[in-house]
Amino acid sequence: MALDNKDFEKLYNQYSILVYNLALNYLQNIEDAEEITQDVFIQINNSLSKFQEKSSLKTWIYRITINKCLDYIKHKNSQKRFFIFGKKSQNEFEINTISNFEHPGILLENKEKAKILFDIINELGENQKTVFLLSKLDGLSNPEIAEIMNLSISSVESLVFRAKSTLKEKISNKFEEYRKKLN
Amino acid sequence: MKTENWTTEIMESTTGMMKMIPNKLLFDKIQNKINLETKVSNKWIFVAAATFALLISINIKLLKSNLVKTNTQSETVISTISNTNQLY
Repeated sequence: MALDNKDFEKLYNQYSILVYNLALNYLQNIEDAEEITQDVFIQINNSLSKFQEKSSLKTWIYRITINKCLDYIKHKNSQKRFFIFGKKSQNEFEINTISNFEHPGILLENKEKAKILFDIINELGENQKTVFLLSKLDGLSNPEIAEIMNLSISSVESLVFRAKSTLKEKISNKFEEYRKKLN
Repeated sequence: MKTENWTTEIMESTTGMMKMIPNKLLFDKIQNKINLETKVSNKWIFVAAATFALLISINIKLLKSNLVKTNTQSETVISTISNTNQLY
């Protein structure tokens, strides 16, 4: 059973910013984030009746958004592989546009540096990436992240620690590249 | 030292990040999709049911015709056997 229009609009107004910004952080592209937002709210509308209230509605929406983003990334990566090994035709344009960095939330003066950061974040494993985005960009606490990801708080703590140290290591490795570019 | 500073700058490049508000038309798009989904799903349910019924009826017809064929074939085989293998 789906929601009636008024309730659905209320729900959308309450959570659309959360969903859209989380999708932006995962995909760093406006079109992709809008597509995810659409998919998330369609799923919410279709399966709200099945929601068992074992967790809060916000946690449930976070989970749906994260899963949609991860699936979308997997799908995009498989398309990329197909484009590389498969036909090279009109799809070539799509290969080039598939990962355009376009995060409107980032300050203009930080854009170049943020692109480097997000490129490295995208290389992290699913759990490390999720934990880092939720903690650093969404500002959630470790217990909140633990609830969303169905993990213990200590696992979240160690994931945050590992994500940060991996990022720092990879960023410092990139420094040489950056210096060469400047010279 | 330079590397460390640069690493910190990169790590802090998301500071001051603003929360974005999605396009105003997005809600209408979602509602359209939901409406379309329900319309399409009813249509597809009907198509699937019709196809299923058609498949079952074809299968029943084929089975019936096969049964008739095998019956007549076995009768002819029996009759030839009894004619050619007469001991007396």
